[in-house]
Amino acid sequence: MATATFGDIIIDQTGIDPWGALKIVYLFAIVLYIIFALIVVRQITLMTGTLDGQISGSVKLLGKIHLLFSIFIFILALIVL
Amino acid sequence: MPKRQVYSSKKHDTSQKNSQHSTSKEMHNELKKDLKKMGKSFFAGFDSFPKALKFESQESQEEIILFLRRHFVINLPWIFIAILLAIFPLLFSSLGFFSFLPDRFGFMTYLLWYIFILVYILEKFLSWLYNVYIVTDERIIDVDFHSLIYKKISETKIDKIEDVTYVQGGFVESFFNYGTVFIQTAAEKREFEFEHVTQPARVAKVLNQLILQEEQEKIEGRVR
Repeated sequence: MATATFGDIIIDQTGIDPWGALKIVYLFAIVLYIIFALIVVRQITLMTGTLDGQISGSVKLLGKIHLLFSIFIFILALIVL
Repeated sequence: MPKRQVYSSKKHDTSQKNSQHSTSKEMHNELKKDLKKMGKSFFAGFDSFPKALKFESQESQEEIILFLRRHFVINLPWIFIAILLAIFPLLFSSLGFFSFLPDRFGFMTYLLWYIFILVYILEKFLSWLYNVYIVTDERIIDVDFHSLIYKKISETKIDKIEDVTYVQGGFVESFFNYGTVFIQTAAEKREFEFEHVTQPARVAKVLNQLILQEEQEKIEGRVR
C-alpha cells in the first residue's frame, strides 16, 4: 500500500492542490522581484544622472544584467514548477 | 561608551593665517599639491580633483576638490548579515526542514531565499555607492539616496560655512582613520554631516583652506 504524501493529505482534506497554490505564490514573488529589478535599473539611471563617474557604465551594466537575471528566474520557475 | 575626540575650528580662528598666502591661486595650487599626494581610494571613499566625475548641477567652471563617500568598513555589518543569511539554507537542509516539499519546490525555495539575499546586498551596496559628499571650489554638496526611491541633495556655498568640527571615536574609527565631519552654516540648512568619511582631520583642513581661499578671492574681487 502506497503512503500518502503531504500534498495528497491536503487535497483529501481541502480539495485544494497545495502545489498549484504554492506555484502561484512563488511566481508572484518572482514578479515582485522583476519589479524590484526594474526599480533598480531606473534608480541607477537616476543616480548616474546625478553623479556621472568612471564606474557609472559598470553600474548601469550591472543593473541591466540583474534585470535579465530576474526574467530568467521567472522563466526557470515556469519550467521547473 | 567609546571616548570620542572632537575637534573644531571656527571661521575667525583661521583668518590670521590668511596673510601667509599672497593670492588665492597660490592657495589653490598648494591645496591641489597637498591633496594629490594623498592619491585616491575606492574603499576608503576618497578622491581628490577627480577628472572623470561630473555631477548634475555642476557649473562649467566649477572644479571638484574632494569626492567622498562613507568608508567601506561601515558596510561590514550588512556583509556579515548577508553571509549569515547565505549559510541558513545549509542548516535547513541538514535538519531536513523542507523535506516535505517536492524536489522542484525545494529548489525554488532555496533559489528565492538567495534572491532575497541578492536584493538585500544590491540595495545596501547601491545606497553606499551613491551616498556621496562633494566639495567643490564653490560649495559643498551632500547627495543622499535613502533606499532606492528617495533622493535628497543638499548644498551650501563655501562662504556660508561658519564652523567645521569633526568627531572620531572608538577603536574601529581610529584604526581605519574615519569619522564624521560636522559643518555649521549660515544657510537655510544649518548643519551638514559628512558621515564616516576617511581622514576627517584632512577633510576639515581642506574645508578651512577653502574658506580662506574664498575670503581671499573676495579681497581680490574674483568672486564668481
